[in-house]
Amino acid sequence: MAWFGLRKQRDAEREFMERVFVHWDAMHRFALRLTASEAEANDLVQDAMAKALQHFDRVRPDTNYRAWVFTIVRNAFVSNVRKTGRESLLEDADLLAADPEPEVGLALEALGGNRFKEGFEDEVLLALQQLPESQRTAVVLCDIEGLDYEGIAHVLDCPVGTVRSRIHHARKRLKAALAGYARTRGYRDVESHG
Amino acid sequence: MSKVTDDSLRPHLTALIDGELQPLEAIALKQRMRQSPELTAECQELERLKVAVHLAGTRDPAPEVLKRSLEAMCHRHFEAQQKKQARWTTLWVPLGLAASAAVGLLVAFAGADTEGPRGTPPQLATMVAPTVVPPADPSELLPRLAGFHRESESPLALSDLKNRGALLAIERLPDTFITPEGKKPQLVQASWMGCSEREIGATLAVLRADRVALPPIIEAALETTGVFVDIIDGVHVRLSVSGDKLFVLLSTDPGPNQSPI
Repeated sequence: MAWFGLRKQRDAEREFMERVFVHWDAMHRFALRLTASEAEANDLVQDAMAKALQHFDRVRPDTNYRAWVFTIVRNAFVSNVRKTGRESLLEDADLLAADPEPEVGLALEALGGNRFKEGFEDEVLLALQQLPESQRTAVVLCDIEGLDYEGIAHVLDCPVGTVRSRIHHARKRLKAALAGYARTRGYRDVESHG
Repeated sequence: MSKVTDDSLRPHLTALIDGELQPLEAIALKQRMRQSPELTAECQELERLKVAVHLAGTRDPAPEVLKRSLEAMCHRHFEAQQKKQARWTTLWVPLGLAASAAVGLLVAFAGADTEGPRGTPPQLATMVAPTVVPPADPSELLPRLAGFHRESESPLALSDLKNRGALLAIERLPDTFITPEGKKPQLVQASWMGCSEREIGATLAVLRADRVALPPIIEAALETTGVFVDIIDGVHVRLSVSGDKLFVLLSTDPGPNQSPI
């Protein structure tokens, strides 16, 4: 009996490591985009992993584990934000309605230059950080983590159509933000120069 | 975005570069793009933006120290679960087994006090170890039974055999119960109710064969022929075995010229 129990525990540990733990770095990336703080991201991942451990034996075998861990990370983030009275970090309905008109023709092909690339990546991350949380989550999960719309809908607990809309609005905002950056660095504006 | 670009197509462009359009939707949009350089340019721009976000988001690797910390946490969790499981096994399983055994014994002993539905003798559960009863002394068993037959010994003198479960019954039989046909006394009736003491001519003892010890010569005779006959202290003794029962028929020896009853 004891032997059986031991084997069962070892199987559970192996299964957890193969299905959940492998996403630890993705969880960290996502947490970093949510919190914008390395220390907070680390705490958030620890918290989320503990929750995943706690609930792992109740997860259905056909679960999309990657989407599941992102859901845990986001729920933990939302919970922490509410506990600490920082709700302003969460959804802002006004932001969703008031998309800025993007400046057309951003010269993203300029990514070829390394110096520009590094600075540009920082700018992209900064622009991401300016997005409302639900849009940021949608675009991060789509573009950085490669989740499909259905997985993102699961994480955000919303319909797939809403995900499509959020990603569209997020990219519109990103374009607007990054166009300004490119222009200030002297890179050409496609429409104005081309 | 060009003013000529239909605004309603923009969300579809986003879905197109994410591979989330239905095949027919994608074909229709690509056809539209071939006719619209602005739409094509916007689609390429969105693709570059997607790549830029991806490259920026995956630029910095996650800290290894976090990985080690998470691994340790997972290991601790499963180790704790393992210990919990082991505690459960070592504490509750034996307790459960003990409780089951106790219940089993209680049921067995409770059942032993009452007879079964058809008057079957009470059965002890097989968990109960059989009582080990030392067999009666082989050298004194038959002389004692003969003494009882001759009434030189009190019935109480045989109480130790009864207490050991060796002596199941011993009864005095009237002469009419025994027929000496073929010079072998045989039991001819099954009941002697109403017989008086004066009619008593023989004694029948029924013993548990496995709880009495007999001299080897008698054991050998019973094994080979199933019957042993002898005269002890003037009493004619006839032993026979049937199953686990040993029947001892005792009658007064008729003497050398008379056939035994």
